Amino acid sequence: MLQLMKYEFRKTRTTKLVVVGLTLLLQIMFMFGLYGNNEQWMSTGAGLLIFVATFGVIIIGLQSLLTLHKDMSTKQSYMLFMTPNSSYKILGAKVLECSLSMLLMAVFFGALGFLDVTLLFGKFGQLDQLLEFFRSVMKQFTDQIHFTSPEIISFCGMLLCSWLATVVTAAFSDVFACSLLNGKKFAGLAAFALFVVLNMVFGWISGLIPPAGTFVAAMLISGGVSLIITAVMYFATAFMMDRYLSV
Amino acid sequence: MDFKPTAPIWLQVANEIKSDIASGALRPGEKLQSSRDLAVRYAINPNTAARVYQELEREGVCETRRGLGTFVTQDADHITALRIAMAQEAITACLTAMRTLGFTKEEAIHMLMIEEEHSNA
Amino acid sequence: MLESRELTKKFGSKTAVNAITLKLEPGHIYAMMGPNGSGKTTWMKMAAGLIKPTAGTVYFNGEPVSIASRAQVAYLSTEPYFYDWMTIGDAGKYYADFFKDFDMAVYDKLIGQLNLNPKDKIKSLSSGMTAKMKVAVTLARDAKVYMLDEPFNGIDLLARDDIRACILNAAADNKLLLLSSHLVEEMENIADRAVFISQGNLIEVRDLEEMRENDGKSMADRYREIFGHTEAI
Repeated sequence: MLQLMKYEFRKTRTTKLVVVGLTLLLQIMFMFGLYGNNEQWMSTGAGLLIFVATFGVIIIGLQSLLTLHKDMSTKQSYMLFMTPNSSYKILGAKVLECSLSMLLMAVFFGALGFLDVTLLFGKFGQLDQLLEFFRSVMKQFTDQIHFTSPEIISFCGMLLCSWLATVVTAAFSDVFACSLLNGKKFAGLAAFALFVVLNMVFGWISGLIPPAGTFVAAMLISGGVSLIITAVMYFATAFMMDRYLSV
Repeated sequence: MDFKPTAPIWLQVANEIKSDIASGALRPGEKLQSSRDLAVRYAINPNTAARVYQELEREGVCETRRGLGTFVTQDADHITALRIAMAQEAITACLTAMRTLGFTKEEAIHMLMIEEEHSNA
Repeated sequence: MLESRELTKKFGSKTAVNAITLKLEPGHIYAMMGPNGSGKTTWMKMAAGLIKPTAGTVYFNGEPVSIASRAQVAYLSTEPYFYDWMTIGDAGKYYADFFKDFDMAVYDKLIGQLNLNPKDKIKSLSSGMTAKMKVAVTLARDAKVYMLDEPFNGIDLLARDDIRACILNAAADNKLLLLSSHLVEEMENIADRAVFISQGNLIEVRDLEEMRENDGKSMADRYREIFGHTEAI
């Protein structure tokens, strides 16, 4: 399993390095502006960092899906299916690697954002106005929503589960399109359309569930639904890979 | 080596080795290459190569010593007999060809002697 | 060792393999002969556990082929399949990561014998070099069954000589080699048995030395008899 994941990482390495490299460059630009008192550099760097952070995680997810598509629709599928690994394991490695990478990337951007805000505080600490502004923002934030730790944990758990469900649903869409439209040009487009439709269906199903009393319960139910979707999609995908793909 | 496609390959390779033994290219008692090397050298199937040595052994031209390999026989009489047998085969083939072309035995012998003088000159 | 019973594969309405019952034994090099599209590749892919039969079963040592049997049955696909980023050395590492029977020392030796540079990118290799590299990485496994699909296709004479030598060196009493080809002259001498397949149907399995001895026929002769004028040899 780890071997499979290692190669999934290797296949998407370039994209990841580009995203991380670009982020580091922008970070340097930001810090250069911050400490060189070049406001334009600082604001451009910060703006672009926010942009890269927003799309970086999505791009890494998309890259994993493109890799899956290539692995399913070209002769490179043989590299995976000649090994003594079941399609469940092969798919599992892909989903795990993709989810972990996206999670790590999100943590990386989160940590960097925290660092940059701290740097800003440190630099402009003397400026009471700015500090006061941040304080008021924080105060407003904490005043409005009172998060308890179970709530935060259940919210993160729900986010993770729905993340997994999205990744696996995308994988299902692609494998479905690849098995049905083996080698056809528009397989990728069909996969995307199927992905959109499936998400709408799952959204509709989630809407049928009666609203829960507490926030934690709502998160748990929503996470549970995502997990069920993940499981169903995962087994359906691996089954199709096993049965219908022509290596 | 190009094989005639219609005769067993083991026979053709065995004849090649026998002719090497008869000509002295392979000395009595000399170790022969392993049957795998023989297969690679002639680009033939390993089973066919093994058959070559089996047949040569059966004819007494070679002998296999367990764990050591296959060797050309040291029996000088046997090698002499092999040389004569191969020479007879060559002559028979020559005479048969000449007969097919319509030459009598005397004409064939005459031509053979002239050819021999030419090649010596 | 490798046996198919009533093995059938249909792609839509087209029957690629039609109820083939075939038993292959260790200690032999089989030539699977037939024109392009006769079902050789499909049979091999089913035996390798890569595609599922429509009907019938392939058995490896008495057990139906499965994901587990891929660990002992090596199949070499005729199409290029390596990842774009891979060098010859990377391919060896990949095989070492996934096949317990892969021997890196044997691979390095074969690569050396075949005059290949482990640092070269596979994508940039000539077709002859790619073919040599593929055979090396497959034969560096200590598998029980080797199935090589068209190993001589589209490569020059010298590369063919090298590949032939590798194949002959890999043959052993406890191993089964199955080579598919539509190039009769490449297979005539190195195989000892021929499996003739025409349009998805098994025609016959012949011992080649026996056929030369008893019928005075070469594999090429028999090929012409079976496939007639369907393809020039």
